[in-house]
Amino acid sequence: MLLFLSRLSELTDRLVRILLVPFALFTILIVFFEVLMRYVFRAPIITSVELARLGFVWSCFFGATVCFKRQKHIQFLFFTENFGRRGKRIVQATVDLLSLGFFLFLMVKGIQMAEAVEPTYFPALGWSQLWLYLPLPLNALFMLIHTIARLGDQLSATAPPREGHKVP
Amino acid sequence: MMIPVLIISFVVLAVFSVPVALAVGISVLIAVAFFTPFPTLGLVQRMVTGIDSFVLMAIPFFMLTGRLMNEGGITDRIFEFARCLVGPIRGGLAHANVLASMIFAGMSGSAVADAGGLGMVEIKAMTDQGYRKEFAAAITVASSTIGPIIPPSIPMVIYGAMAEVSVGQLFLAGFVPGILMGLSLMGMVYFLSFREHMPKDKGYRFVEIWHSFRKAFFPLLTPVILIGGILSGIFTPTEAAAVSTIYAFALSFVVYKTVRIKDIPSILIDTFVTTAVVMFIISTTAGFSWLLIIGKIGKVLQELVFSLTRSPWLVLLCINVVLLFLGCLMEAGVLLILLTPIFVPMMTAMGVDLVHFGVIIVLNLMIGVATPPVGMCLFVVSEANNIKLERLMREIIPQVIPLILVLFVVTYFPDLVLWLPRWLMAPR
Repeated sequence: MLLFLSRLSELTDRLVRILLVPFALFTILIVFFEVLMRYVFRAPIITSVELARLGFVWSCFFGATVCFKRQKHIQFLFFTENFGRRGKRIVQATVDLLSLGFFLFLMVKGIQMAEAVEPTYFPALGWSQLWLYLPLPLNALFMLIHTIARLGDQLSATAPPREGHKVP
Repeated sequence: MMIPVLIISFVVLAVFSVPVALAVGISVLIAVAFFTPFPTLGLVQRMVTGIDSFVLMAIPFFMLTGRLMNEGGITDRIFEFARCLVGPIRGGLAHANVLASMIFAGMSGSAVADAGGLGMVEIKAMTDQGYRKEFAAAITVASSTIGPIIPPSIPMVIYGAMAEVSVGQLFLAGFVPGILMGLSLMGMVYFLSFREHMPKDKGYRFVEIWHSFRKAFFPLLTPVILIGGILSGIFTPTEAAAVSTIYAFALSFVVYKTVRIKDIPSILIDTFVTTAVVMFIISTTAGFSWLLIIGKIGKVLQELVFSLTRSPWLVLLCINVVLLFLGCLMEAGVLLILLTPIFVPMMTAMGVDLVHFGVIIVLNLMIGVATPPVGMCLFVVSEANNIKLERLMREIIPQVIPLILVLFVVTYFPDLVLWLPRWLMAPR
């Protein structure tokens, strides 16, 4: 079971990294081509801002998920790093449990939010606003998978020491 | 009751090593669920709308530009050019270090990109010429703080989006303070150069200067394209950021051939992961700001301050002291995101220009990235160059003094900051 969770987490991470690249590239290119079309070809892309916003929101949430997997989110370690091995493990497990609860909340409420905005549309694109809100519950699910896998590691006591973007 | 619960729960969670973005999100969730009549769906909505911003999109673009410039070996060209200009002065390479940071600041917008990329080139050249490694590292850290002051600037984009201030005006307002920072650091280097017996380069012939200028010509065009494009109304700051990214890519990929297509995915992933560190905090902080508005914290703080003093200068002095202190303890981006919604209403009520305040807050926080114990650039430089953090911390102190002097000049002479945006972006 633990091995399955760990593999699922790795697979999810790979999938998110693969998805992140085209979304990020698209966001940059659409903004650049808007300038090009407007000033060189005198033919502005009226949907460019909405497309770029969509690409950016998706890229940010994908980035946040990769960041969470790599434990790169900013955290303060000056207090807990003085704890003993057992204390550190308890703190880490508590943090993971809190994260699990929060991601569960984001996933459930995110789906409700996406459903609530589904009948509203982007003015220029004509697409449902659902596409703007969807990355939140989706990435909450991905981060939930990473958290469960990490908790599994904790239980089996094989967790690597916390690395990440430390602020001592 | 809601605000104390919000703040206390955030502090407790953050102290117990919950990632800042999650600590903010969880404390907002607790406050909304138990102390307001509002549905928790509001938090989810704000998490998306908080980052659904065309202005904030400039952040990864500027990061990517800096990264491509570093990967593409463009930083070497900039440093060589700076060296030709100021190398013959006593302490020439230290002066070149500062000047190169000022030039690179016009392309990147991140202090860490400067310290981590250009900084490596500078420290190597300085130690090769006999400078103490600690001194070379300290001047690199100090000069990297100019990066987000001279436009473009990632923290100013964040501040502009959160305070609803023109990013173009903020960029222009950063010019004079950035140049003052550079000159003051060069002054300090010159002062120290006699004590440290610093070497100087031989005089460069005009041909050599011309040659280094030609090598650095295309990178040097980046700030011209950026600022020129914004001022002429050709593009917005976000579009300028995208154009500069494509330009940096073209230079690295087509002209200098130092970046390959297969490098692009990893560069993109790294950039967006770094962006996400900030964006995820902004996302959860949107709910935090919403609760601060509901709790009328701005008004409460304002009444508290007004009961003590009504002098904007005294309040700005207190804010500077608080920010310098907090900047030593907390990460600059986190502080900027958390404090902007608290300070901005008070500044508006006191009649302080928000563009001026933006430069003050960013300058304060940039001094924070160079000061112990929590200076991000200190960590980057000490780690990359294998220098003990304690030794670097001791070495940085004299370099921070001129930066603090500039901060006070910028605080008390607002016209120094505002004349350029007023002149160039005045309604015609």
